[in-house]
Amino acid sequence: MGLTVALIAEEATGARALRLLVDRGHRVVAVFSDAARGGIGESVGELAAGLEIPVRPAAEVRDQALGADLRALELDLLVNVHSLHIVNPEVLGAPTLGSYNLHPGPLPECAGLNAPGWALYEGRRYHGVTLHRMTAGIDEGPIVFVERFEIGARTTALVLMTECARRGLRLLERLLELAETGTPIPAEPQDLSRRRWFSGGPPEGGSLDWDRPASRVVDFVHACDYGPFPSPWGFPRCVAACGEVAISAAEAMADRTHAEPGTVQVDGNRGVLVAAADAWVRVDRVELNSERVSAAKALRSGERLGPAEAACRARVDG
Amino acid sequence: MAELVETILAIFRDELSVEVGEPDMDVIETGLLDSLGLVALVVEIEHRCGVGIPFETLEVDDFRTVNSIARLVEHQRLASA
Repeated sequence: MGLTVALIAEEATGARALRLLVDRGHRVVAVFSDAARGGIGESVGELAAGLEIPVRPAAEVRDQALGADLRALELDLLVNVHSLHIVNPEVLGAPTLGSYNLHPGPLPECAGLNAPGWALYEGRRYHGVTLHRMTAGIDEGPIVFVERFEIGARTTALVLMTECARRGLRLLERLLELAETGTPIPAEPQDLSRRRWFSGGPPEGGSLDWDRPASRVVDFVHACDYGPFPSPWGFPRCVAACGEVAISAAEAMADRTHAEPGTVQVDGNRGVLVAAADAWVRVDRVELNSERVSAAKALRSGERLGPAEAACRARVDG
Repeated sequence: MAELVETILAIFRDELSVEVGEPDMDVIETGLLDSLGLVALVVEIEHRCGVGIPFETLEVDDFRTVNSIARLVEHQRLASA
């Protein structure tokens, strides 16, 4: 059954969702998207315009009046993919089969922004993606599908973000399969007592305090790692003798240390080691004055790294 | 392999609106591929080439050139055969 759908979407995942809807033969009556993303390639809006689908500013979804417009179009589904606009309840109530959001994290325990980054920062061993019904509360609506998967020890934020997009799109396909065949769509209420909500970050204002386990230092670095592309959080920063440095590549070592956290030891065989609270961390690369250099160029044996001045602290609720 | 290279060049053209001049051009170094583009690329490669790219072993360096992407896809095809 061909569905009448409106899409609120940004980024590559949003563009792929639009192609998915079109490829499955659905009638996309409107795409709500912000201006060109400023990156490389086609934005969701440009893609939609090329497909002769009406493109409207994403901010319109905040407007109560849009609800009546969408009802007049006899909308079946409203789908939100990676757009951060808060959708007006009148708009949410317009489609006959409901409004759905693709969230790149497992709900209810990982609501909010940049869920993949926070999962890595917290050292979690699993992550997930959720497709849920949208309600007035952000990321609070009943769950259609949630899929959890393990995170590898060396997984970076870029890799995890990519995996969330890939798995999330599969959930969207599953939703469409149900809607196309008139099969009831699951709606499992969330246990909101388990809810945690994360702000945009970066954690700790991007400042790295070495007085923590070595594994947590490395988790923080991985959470910021979109290498070789720029990181939206930047890398964790600390203060060295040469100035402020950001740690861009690090690995936890097995050997324990009682050195003061932040103490640097340059070892001819093993490279630049920095003491965390329990063990050494090998630091391979740092950013100094916005340039990525080997740690040996920036750090000296015996010096002690301190936390940098934190930018605005991120909020975690729950 | 030549067919695979053509498919990947087409993905760059169709999905990212990017013309990659040579299959050995480093698309990351030259700024033709960004992080969101990588997401689109991985999803579309799986879709068009019918292979899974396991995220546990995903190496961004495999996506530096069209030729290296083609080798990765070929490797995944053989691994799943």
